[in-house]
Amino acid sequence: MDNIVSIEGLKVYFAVQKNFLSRLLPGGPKYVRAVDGVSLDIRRGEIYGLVGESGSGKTTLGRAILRLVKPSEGKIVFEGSDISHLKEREVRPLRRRMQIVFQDPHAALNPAMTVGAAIAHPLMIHNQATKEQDAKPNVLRMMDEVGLNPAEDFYHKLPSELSGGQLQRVVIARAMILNPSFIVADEPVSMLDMSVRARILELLLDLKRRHNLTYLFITHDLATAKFLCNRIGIMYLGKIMEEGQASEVYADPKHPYTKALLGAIPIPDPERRTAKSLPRGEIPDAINPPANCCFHPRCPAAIEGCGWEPRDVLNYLEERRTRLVTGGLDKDVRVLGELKRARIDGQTVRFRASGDGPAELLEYLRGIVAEAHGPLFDAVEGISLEDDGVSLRLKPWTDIKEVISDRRRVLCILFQST
Amino acid sequence: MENLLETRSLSIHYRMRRGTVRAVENVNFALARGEAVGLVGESGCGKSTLAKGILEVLPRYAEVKGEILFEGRDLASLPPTELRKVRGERIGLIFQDPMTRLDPLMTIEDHFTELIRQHREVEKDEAKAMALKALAAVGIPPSRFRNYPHEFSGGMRQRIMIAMALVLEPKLIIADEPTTSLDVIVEGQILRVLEELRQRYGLALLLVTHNLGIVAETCDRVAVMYAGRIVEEGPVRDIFREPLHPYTQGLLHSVIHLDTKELSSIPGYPPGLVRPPSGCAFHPRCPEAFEPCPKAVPALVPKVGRRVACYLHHDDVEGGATVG
Repeated sequence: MDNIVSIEGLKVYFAVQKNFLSRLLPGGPKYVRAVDGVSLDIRRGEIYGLVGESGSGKTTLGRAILRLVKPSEGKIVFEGSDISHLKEREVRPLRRRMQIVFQDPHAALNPAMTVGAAIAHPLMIHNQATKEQDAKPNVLRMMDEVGLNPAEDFYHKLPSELSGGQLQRVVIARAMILNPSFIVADEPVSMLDMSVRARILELLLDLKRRHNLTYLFITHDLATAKFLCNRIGIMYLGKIMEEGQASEVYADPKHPYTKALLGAIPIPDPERRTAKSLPRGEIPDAINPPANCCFHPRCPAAIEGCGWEPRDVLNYLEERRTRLVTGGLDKDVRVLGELKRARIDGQTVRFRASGDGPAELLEYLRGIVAEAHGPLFDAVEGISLEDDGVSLRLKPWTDIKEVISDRRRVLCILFQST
Repeated sequence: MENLLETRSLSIHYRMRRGTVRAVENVNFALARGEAVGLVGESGCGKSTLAKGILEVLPRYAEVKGEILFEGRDLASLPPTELRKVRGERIGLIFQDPMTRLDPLMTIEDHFTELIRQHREVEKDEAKAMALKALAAVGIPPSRFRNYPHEFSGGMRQRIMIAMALVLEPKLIIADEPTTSLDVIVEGQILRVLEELRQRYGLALLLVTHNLGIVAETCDRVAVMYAGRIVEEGPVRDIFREPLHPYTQGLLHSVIHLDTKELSSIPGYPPGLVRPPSGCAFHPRCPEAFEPCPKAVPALVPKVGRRVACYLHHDDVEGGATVG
């Protein structure tokens, strides 16, 4: 199969700015793991949908493919050549073949540049025209093709005179003017009104047919991806959780995260109101992602071996306190103390006894674990008394690895044979 | 049933250098106690201005005509101290971006203490107890009480906004695009919290949104706005099953959902509100426009249990009208 883009083990880490004091303290530099080991192929002529919530790394991945951000590790092959380590000067000629359409057309266009000048600009940068006038016939033809007609009328207009949908057509024309083979479309309709979205999507489909384009379509909207894409990859905290033929993924989602995303979409039909089963919490910090399967703290289908670690215990205890506000909070705080003072050592978390000493603490924690349910508590190995406190140990987890299940790539231990 | 909220011939205009923006034009709209109503439309249709008008939080250059009655009293005639009492205490607010309402230099505790003690004569301890209860109801742990707004995620900030809107036990919540900047899972969580609290306290909700999916899932009634006017209004089930106004039809068809088999859109673009098209403002985009449409604005008339402003439905004005 002919791959236009091929990515292997791609990582994009951004160093976190730290203040003076924390640089003196041990721990080394911290990184946001925006893309954390992604391998994927984009086949020539397809629409590959990259779907995820904000903070999943989908936009960074799209930009890394275009080399708008620098990969930290891994390989990006575009039309047969390895572009992972090219210098900016060497990347520039490639941009004729690979282009991007941004989410916010207001921000993507220079407010002082006329529509014509904006679309002609790439031609001048790539030395295909020296004057705007030389580029004009080309620009007018492209404007006509993206539906900015009569083109002559729009040519001298400023972005402020256009509606959102028209501006996005300008952005698309600017991306198309160099006749690229590959376009990253990053949420191209998310900022547009519902009544005009469909026409922009139709335009993208139309251009694809006429110019044999390949798209990487980045979106948080599973419904739009379903309609548009041939294959989709579901991304979460820098990793691809599931990937397969769009029709198959939607008909039979494997990964609990994919199921959760699909189940959360509002249905515009009041006759079909149903109670949703939603994952708890929000996408966590990519500086310090959860251990093993990064979705495990939120996963409705999690089991004992998913990656439970001491901070999950502390988070549980913190959340439990919201239920104690109407009674029991004082005792909880007296016995367990401030949760951030608990000490974590590998899979063990140690609580220092305050209140009436370690015996009371031991009994209290045992009580909490006994009445709690769920995979986190299945993963508790033991609770024991120590010199001045109590330690709670968690079992080790099963290391996660990607598997193929029914022609689908899935990153979930439920699909691993042990 | 007595209306909790009612607008009578409400118009809100902004005088700008480029002309008068007619953001809200002659809107008659009512909301009963405990009812959830969705106010939907595209950007620039006036839905947010209408919500802001009800709260009397419009910019100073806005011109308001008509009446806004809340619990039978005209808000515009209330002295500022009374108005402040209604706003916040009887009407709670939730905005799209919580950071515009939360002061980055104040802890969550400060926000609640200030809000509660502005409206109630209570000691600090009692205010704290009220706040912790409200926060617990939306799932914010007490340990976060002294944190600053930036230490919370977007979803948690919106939960804090909901807790602040509800802590004084209002009768009406106005939520302006409350989940628009959130991801679909967190959106579902927030709507669930809102719905649970609404049921528990018998609150009425005015949900301003462009998202028809969440209206279908949370509202009893829906009002569709176009170019500053309500063009159709009625029970959610009826309007989603059989929209009468061609704009409502086009809007519902253009929603892309999991069962979408083909794309559909409305020709043209939403109009500007400085010089909206003559007559029915939708007529230039309307597939069914005919001779009377550009001439005069069609009245919003009762029709089979709802109201619709379209000449296609002006023939049998009496037919089964129940909504006044």
